[in-house]
Amino acid sequence: MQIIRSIAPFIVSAFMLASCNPDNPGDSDESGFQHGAFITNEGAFGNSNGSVSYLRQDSSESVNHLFEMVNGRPLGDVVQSFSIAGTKGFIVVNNSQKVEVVDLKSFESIGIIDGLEYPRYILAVNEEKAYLSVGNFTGQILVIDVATHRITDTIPCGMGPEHMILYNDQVIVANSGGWGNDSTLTVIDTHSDKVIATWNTGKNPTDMVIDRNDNLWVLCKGKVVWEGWNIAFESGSSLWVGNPDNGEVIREISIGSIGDFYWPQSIGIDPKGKNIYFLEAGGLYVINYQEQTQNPEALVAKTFYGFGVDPETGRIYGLSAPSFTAAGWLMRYEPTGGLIDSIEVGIGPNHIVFN
Amino acid sequence: MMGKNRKPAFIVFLLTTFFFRWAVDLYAQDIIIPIEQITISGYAKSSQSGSFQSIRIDSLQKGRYAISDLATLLKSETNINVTQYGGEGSLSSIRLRGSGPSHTQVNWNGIPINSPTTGSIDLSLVSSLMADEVELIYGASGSLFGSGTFGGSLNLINKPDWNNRLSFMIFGEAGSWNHYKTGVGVRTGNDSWQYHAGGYLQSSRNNYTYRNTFMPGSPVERRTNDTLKTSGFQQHLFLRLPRSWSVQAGMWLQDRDKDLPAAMSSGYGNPANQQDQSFRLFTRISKIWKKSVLEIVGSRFADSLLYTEYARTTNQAFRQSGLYSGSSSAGLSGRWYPSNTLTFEAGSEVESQKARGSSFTGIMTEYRGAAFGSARYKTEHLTFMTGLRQVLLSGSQTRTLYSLSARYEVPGINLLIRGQASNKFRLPTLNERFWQPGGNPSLLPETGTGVESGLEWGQKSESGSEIQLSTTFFFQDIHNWVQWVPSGTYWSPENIRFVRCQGFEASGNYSGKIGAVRATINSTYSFTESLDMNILSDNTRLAGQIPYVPRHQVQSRFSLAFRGFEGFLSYRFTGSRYTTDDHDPWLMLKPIHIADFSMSHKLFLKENEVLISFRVNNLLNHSYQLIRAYPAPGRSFLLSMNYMFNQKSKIYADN
Repeated sequence: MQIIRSIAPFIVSAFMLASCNPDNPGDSDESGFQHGAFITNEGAFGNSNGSVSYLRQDSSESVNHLFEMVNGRPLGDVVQSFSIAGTKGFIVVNNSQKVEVVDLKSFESIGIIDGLEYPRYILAVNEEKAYLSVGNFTGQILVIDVATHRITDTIPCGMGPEHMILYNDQVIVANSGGWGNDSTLTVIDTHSDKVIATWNTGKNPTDMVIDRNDNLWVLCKGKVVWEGWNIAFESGSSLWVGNPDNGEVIREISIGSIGDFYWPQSIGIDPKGKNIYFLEAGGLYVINYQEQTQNPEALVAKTFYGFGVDPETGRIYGLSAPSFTAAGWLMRYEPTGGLIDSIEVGIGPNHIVFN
Repeated sequence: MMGKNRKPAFIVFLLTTFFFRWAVDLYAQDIIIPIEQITISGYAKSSQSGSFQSIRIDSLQKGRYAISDLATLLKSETNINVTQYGGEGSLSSIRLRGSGPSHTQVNWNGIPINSPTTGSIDLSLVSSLMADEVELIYGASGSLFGSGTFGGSLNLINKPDWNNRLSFMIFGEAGSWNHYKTGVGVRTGNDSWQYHAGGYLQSSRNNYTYRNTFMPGSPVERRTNDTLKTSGFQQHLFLRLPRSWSVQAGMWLQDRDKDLPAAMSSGYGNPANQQDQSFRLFTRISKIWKKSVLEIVGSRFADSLLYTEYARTTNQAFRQSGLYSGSSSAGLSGRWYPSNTLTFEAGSEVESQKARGSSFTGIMTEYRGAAFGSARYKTEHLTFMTGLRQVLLSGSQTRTLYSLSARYEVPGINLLIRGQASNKFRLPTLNERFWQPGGNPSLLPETGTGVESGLEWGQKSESGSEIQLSTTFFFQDIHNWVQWVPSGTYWSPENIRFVRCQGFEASGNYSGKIGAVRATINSTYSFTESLDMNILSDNTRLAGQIPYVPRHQVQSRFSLAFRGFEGFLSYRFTGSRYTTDDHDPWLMLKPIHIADFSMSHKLFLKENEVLISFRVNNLLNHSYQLIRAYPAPGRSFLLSMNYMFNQKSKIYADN
């Protein structure tokens, strides 16, 4: 292990050189890890074995344990998400209650934002400012100064804020309910960092995309009422489609079924903004932006723990976590659902970001 | 400490104690014990495991640790694999011969005390005060012990000294990180009755320092929220009654209040606390005839666990879950000694297990029964034994277990050859079957077959020196090994593993005198392969060593004793361990090197004895983890004093 750690910088350098594209000298070791896909592997809860994997889209081999390899120390427990703001990467480590800030080129740690309560996702508002959603009950959006990594403001929002999306001069926050329930989106003005509206949606909204018609698609995972550790009541999931300017509902599409709680969590869209992908019990589904009902047939009939859509090629990157005691897999598919390849990543891959 | 519903049982036991004492006083004059040809050592299961590799931790070894929990005792005195989530009092498990935590049956005077909900037992919950002797039988026979002995059997044994008239003990210990422990014990009686009682109190802040390897520069940090408060009480009554009846009754009360520290990667999580309470009661009644013994055993165990999580900002409890489990058992067995060489045993036992809690829908109940028989042929040099057990489970399932074992002492050369073969199984626990969400009622029992063989050689010289060498090879397959795996929205247990455990253990002991100084050297080495033989289609598991099982373990101990003084030095090596099924080298745990040192002095004054001991644990201040991200304590100091008064009976004293 000591040997591996001591030679890790050389391995990283070798990888970067080997990945150099002769047709594009700029896409070489000089760019470091600035161009590629970052996969967060949350690891097994309580086992502190979360990690980040890095993959150039033109490669079929990933660099796993990237953070540990560069910085010589483990990342932490439950690596939730990764976000990019300018030249910096922000790794949200949920159960370590921290955000690790790295230089995107070298992936060297350049700061830690710690003492956070249930951090989830970061959204870069601009090169100076980012929003971080926190809280499993009543949530908050923390305003982060990208330059200093300091929290400069706190914005109240609904229960269990998760994903956020930037639309014009406003950020829309999905209040997923956390360990309770919620059915709202919080709208924040990015200039004043103040809440300007709260819109009602389907039950427990968690993730969002905007289609080519500038319609907001919100993935709502459904309402769950807990009694202790047991589910006493559960409603179905839905895709809520609305106007991102005023929150008016356009339509709500029922998806999934009672009993598939926790699914879906992720939604994605192709580069043209026409096909919306989402996870649901039974696999990865797709719906055209003009359709009114869910296609009952899964595009890929496989259980994924997360997924992403390459914004350049439209390829689908499915994240498989068959076991939290061994590495997971990234499976690449053509937009039509044909499998391209499988690449080993870390334990419990849950989130992917393209840069 | 105890719930209201347990008080009556406690009071009944006290009244019973006094009743038996009164009864014995009445009949003490008539006692005749015709056991010239019958040796009853401990209890039947223990005495019939002679062909298995075993370790016995005697009172001398236990004395070095006085009143300590079983995790500390086993880690220090044996070479077995014990995992622990950090400091003293943290959740500890035994993983014997490459098996899992629920694969070692822990028995208290022959009755399993493994949790009906988890199938395992937290070793840090078991105080050495609760037993006079601790015995570990590797790969113990399923036909003798029943479910869950792939690893072996850990036996806590209480036994009387019929020559004791009055003895009592007062113990006190103070050490690093606000560690304080005190205990008392009393034993009184005569050759027809003996009464033992003891109790202890302990508190430790466990605020030790450690290197946080998850933080930049691996800074030294101090452990927080790791406070331990625990107390326990046990009493035993041994009676010899008229017409060769005898009774043993035991009671065990324990309470633990333990703060649960976060993993060192978990920053400032919500503090959590766990409270455990245990109540155990058993009675064994025996009737001895000239060539046979009848035993009736009954027991009632109850355990509770209360987990509370507090909001970090307000320190208010915001999440709580409780788990209550209990079991009752009754058994009847008979042993027949038709000749000096033959022993037959047959019996039956029934058990009910119950659990309720926030993760169960109602009260979960399971009934089990078994009928068993065994035969032993024993001559001066050869012992041969065979056993058979038919297990009956709820739902009319049955399972047959067998065992064959033999040992042969080669005349004239002090060589012992032993071997055994047996099949085993483990029933799914109540958690595995009924936990909400995720419990899998259709789980199959884990099954397997194991063999072992060993050689032991010993030599004693006229000068008093003694040397012993032994080696054991073992091989065992475990099918349908249960593992919790993600199943859609939650985790669920499945029979997915096929594990092959194989390896060998070797040990050497030397004890000799140089003038008035007695030197003792003991070394053990174990090589363990615990190989997951499954290769799944998506490569989630390789045919390799399962997590948290080191291939290599070494322990060496050296002591010098001189006129009441003793110096003791031990060293333990535990090889690197994988923490994931895919053997990710970034997630491996580094090898462990631990040295302990102690000095003690024993003062005698007639029937009084004072033992003063100074101990340094982890002498080299080695930084290590037994469970990933849970730092183990560094160097610590302990000072203890143990006062004992021991008055033997007049006959014994005169002899």
